[in-house]
Amino acid sequence: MSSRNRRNRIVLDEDETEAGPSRPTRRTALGNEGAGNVQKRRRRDEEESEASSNEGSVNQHSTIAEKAAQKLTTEELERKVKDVVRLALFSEHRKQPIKRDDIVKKVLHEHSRAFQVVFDKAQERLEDIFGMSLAELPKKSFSTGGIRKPVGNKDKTTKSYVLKNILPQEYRETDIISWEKNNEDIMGLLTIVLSLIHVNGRVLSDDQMTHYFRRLYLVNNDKFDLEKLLSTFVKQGYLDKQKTSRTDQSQNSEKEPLEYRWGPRAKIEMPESNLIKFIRAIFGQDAPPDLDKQVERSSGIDLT
Amino acid sequence: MNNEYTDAHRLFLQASLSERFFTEATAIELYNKAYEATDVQDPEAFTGFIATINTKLNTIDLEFRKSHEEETGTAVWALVNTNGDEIAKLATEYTPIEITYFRRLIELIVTAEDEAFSVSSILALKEASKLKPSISKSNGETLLQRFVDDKWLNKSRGGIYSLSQRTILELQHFLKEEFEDILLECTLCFDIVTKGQRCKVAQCKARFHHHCAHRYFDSRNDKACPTCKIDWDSNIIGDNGSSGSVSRIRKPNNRTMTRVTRRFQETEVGDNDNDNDEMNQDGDDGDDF
Repeated sequence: MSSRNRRNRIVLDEDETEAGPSRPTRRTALGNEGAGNVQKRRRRDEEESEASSNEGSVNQHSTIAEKAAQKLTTEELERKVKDVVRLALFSEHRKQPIKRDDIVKKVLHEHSRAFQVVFDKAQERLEDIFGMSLAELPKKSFSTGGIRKPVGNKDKTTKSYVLKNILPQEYRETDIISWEKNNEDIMGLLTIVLSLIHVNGRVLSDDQMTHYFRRLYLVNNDKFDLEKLLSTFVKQGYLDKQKTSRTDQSQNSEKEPLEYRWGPRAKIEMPESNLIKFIRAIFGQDAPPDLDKQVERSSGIDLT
Repeated sequence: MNNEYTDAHRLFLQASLSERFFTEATAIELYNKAYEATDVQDPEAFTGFIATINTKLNTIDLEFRKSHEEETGTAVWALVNTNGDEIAKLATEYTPIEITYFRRLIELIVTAEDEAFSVSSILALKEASKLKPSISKSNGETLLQRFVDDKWLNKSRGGIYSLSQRTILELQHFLKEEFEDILLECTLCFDIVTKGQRCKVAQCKARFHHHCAHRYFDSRNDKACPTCKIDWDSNIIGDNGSSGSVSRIRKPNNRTMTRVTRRFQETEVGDNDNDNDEMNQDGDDGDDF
């Protein structure tokens, strides 16, 4: 046992020394498309940090972070990078977004100014080891009438992140990544809910939701506690729930009228193209030839 | 030899993040699929593949470790956290009091008398009621079931809890630190053994997993203990009642075995009561289960 530990130790040390800012092996290791993705993501990140630092120029901003990071020894910096990576992984395991504040409180402590440097290095590590990266959750799209804001928008400053798979799309379509067995039907239900919201102009009232559930024979079904599931989805960021903003309500329930939209996590995890595939799979052979067009029309989002 | 870190490695890692504990057969299936999907040329052999991943994982204090299911000898892999820091505590979906309870259960299991390495549900639930704040019987039952479902504890048909292979693998560090003098190592494979066989000779230190013992004795004619050289005859380590493996080997009447276990466990409850007055009071409740 001790000999194994020693071996690991050595391996660890070797790796620490080579974990510099530039990792030449990474680029060659990735497929072409993968590298493209990373590039694109990097560029977007830069735009974001630009957008979030309105008070100063990007140069100043990064210099402050770099200066703060210089106060850390190489070992300290490495440790903090490692801790951010671990925090991201463990938070994801509980489906909790990782907040900037968490990183500062749990990892950086008095070195909060070094955030950008540590965060960027942690991103590199996540991309390298797992093919995943931290994506900032978009702001809640309250009363935008279903029109989805383009990614990278200026007011995108939730400072909350979730892990996102950045491996090329075609790898992900293999059945290798399966949800935990007991989660499979719950995730299936979630996909259905998201699809229904999507094709209804990206918003669904509480009553409409119940109506659909009834038609799917899900009401009074022993398998699902719908109320609880919906609130879990809201908590995990898959759904947004809010008091209804529309005036054309013809609701006759005494409950407060509520409506559901896609939550920030859904927007990160569920590309629209996948959703179309899902809807098409449900229709099977009965899928109308212009399904894509129909979905586009009913959701108000152009796929192409 | 090619040990480049590729998307096949990343895909394998992503796939194993949700399960974290699986048989080697599943691991090899994932490994094959990962190469198929990514179309990476010149694939590494499985062992090298895991070693390459571990080199990366070690930089963030994680590691794939191999072990064998104690009862069946099946090869299993777990993604193990090698660093018990504050941040890792977030990894569990359990509350602090639930974690405290789990620790107490481990202690009860590891310190069980006569190398039984198990705890009855009666005793386990009693322990829950002693916590501050205490956990009610029904909540305790739910929680115990969660530990079993999450593969942290094993439960035998007779309702006896023991350490799971996942716990032995993932909490190895903690176990060895806390219970250095009590834990037993298999004489043949040097892994922790909580279910297996020991030499009948009281002074002899020989301890085997069932699968290790089979492998050892099947290959030779003389059935002598490799440590004390006396003719091999074994006692059981672990839940010597109705757990699956034991009944498979010994083929006893299951119902009798359960009854024997229960009697055995009840005496154990009695023994422990001696050093705890609080427990004496509800000592009779045990019969209700």
